[in-house]
Amino acid sequence: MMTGGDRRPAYDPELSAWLAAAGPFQESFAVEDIPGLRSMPVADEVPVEQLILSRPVAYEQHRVPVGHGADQLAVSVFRPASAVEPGPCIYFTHGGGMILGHRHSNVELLLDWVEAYGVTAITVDYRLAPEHPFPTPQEDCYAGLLWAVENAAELGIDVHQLVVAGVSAGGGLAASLALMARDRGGPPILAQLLICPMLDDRDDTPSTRQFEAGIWNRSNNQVGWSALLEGRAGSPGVSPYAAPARALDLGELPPAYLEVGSAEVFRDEDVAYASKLWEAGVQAELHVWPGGFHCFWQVEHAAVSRAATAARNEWLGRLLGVAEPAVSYEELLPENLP
Amino acid sequence: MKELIGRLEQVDPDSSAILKVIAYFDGLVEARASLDAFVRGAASLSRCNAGVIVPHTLTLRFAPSGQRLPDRGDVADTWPCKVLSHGSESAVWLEKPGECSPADLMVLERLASGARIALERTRGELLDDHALVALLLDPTVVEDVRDRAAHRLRIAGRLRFRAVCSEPGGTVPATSTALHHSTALETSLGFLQATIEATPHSVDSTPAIGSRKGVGPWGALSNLPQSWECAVTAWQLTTESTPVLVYEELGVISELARIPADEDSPADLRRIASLVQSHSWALPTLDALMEKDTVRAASALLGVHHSTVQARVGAINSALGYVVTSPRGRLRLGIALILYRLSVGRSRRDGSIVDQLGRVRATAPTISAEMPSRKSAKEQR
Repeated sequence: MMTGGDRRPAYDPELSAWLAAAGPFQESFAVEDIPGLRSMPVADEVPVEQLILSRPVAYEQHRVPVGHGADQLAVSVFRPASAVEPGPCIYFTHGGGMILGHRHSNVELLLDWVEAYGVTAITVDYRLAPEHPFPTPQEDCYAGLLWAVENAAELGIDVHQLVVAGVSAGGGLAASLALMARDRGGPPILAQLLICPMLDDRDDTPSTRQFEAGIWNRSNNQVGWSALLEGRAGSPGVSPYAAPARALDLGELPPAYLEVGSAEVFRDEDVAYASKLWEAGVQAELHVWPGGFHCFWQVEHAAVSRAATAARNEWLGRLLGVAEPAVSYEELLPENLP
Repeated sequence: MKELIGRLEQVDPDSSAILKVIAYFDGLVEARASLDAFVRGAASLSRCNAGVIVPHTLTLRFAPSGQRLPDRGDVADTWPCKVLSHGSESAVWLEKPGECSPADLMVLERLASGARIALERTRGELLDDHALVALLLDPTVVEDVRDRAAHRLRIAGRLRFRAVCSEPGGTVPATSTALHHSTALETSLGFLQATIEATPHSVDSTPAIGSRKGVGPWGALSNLPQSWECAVTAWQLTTESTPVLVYEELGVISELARIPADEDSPADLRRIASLVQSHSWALPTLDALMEKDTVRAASALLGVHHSTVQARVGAINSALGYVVTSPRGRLRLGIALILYRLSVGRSRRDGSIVDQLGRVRATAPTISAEMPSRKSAKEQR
């Protein structure tokens, strides 16, 4: 039975207006196009050094040895400039379909958390497919996680407040880290924050059939999985550390926050993952934002984006015991109260 | 995927900021977005706070981040502002003192248009007749909103519609059978009086002679924006001696209005602009020379002594570089005058505007603080 086809949830009005104005998108690319995509400059990218200028954030870089060779991963650590006590840590894995992006791809998200919740945020330059297929990206991320725990004192991290978080492919990697830490007796993970995570290589849901076009569409997603799994996406025996949706048992995992748009490929696999977590007795909070395309919340002024960001931050606040994040004076004015 | 988005944005480096603004607001209109979405979009696109006020009813103010802001209690005189309808106290604004970019002006224009559209959908009773006329003449308005605006103006049942353009505040060009509604619209030519005529018949009727008027073609309700555009074109070509022009009667002359305005201004037009700038008699004299076959007849039309006009012709010939009284010269001058009039106030593709002296202005002026609506809107707060 075919679902999808011509019927799909429409984009939110503000998001569809943004799409119309943002200009043409490359609707499809092949594995061979990946180096070219990586070398294209990012239109409005601001260097991280510039982003932290106006923020009370300390920034340091480290190199983490991985594997048996001389390979090293670049890691960035962002801390509240005034932190004295060890505090919670968000260990972050960036997005980019396992094939694109770098550790500062979603860095503004991290800087907001450092400022609002006093967390230390760590983000890692894991190696990318297709040059480095599974399990290299996953193992790189895990090595970075162990490094953070081993150096917790120096980094000002309270190891009992370790949150794994990621966007898109990084969301999938964060879910993998939770599984790996559980199975390997690794560091205790307080929670997993999975933002529109890429979880399932099988490409067999109504939502993937509904979004053949658009941002991170079915074809883009197939290329990403194919690169990670060396053409074996959808075949039997794919590891759950590569595709967490493949995990048979989600028991004993840390509580999860999942968010996804109703108008993107990942909708159904993310909803299914939340259902499997509940089935396994794991606490999970799931938000499906109406009319959201992949990573829609980056269109920050749209009402649905603000709602998604607020819900995510409120969850983080409850998790870290900062139920009410700091608000600006303006937000407290009577006109702005609901 | 912002990164991917960022990369791919550069695929089309030519897409200007203005095209982006147009595409964004078109997207909002098409998706039937709410009023607050229009204000948030304006704030985000212009990277400054933006707001809308309908006195005694609502004030919305948003930051570029989409955050709702409190009502400040006043609107600074230096902020570009646009009323939703002529003489009303309802307005939109951008909190950006100083000179606006062409893209900012487009944002303001589309915010005003979007606010009318969104209000018609949800709070139609807040729109006065002036705003409804503006809606009916707005090419970005979608059909259901246009139909409801016509209904509210009680002209929905009429068969034929057209727009008439005249000097602001001019007498309404009523015909015996047509219902009409009129308002002042801000255009790239400044404020112009826009009148919608609606008849129950398919008969034609030429409006009463009075002040200068450009008359658009009759058509269906949905053709009113095009009729208005034609009416403005016709109005631009009116002269002292030809005060009323019906667009359809321009014939092939109307084709000249289709010539893109972003070409370099031809030398013939620059010379006319320079002449008009130097001598107040220049334009009426050029028109009279086109209107009449002889210098003597032109002198009579102008009410000026024949020898004076003869001297002016000499000055004109030397300024323009050809003999305007020769048959070929008359043809050349006639076409040049039409193109000159059409070029005035035409916004070019980069958003700049040519003024009456042929100078290119980067931006249009903001509405002055003297506008009564601004003052009373402030007092109301």
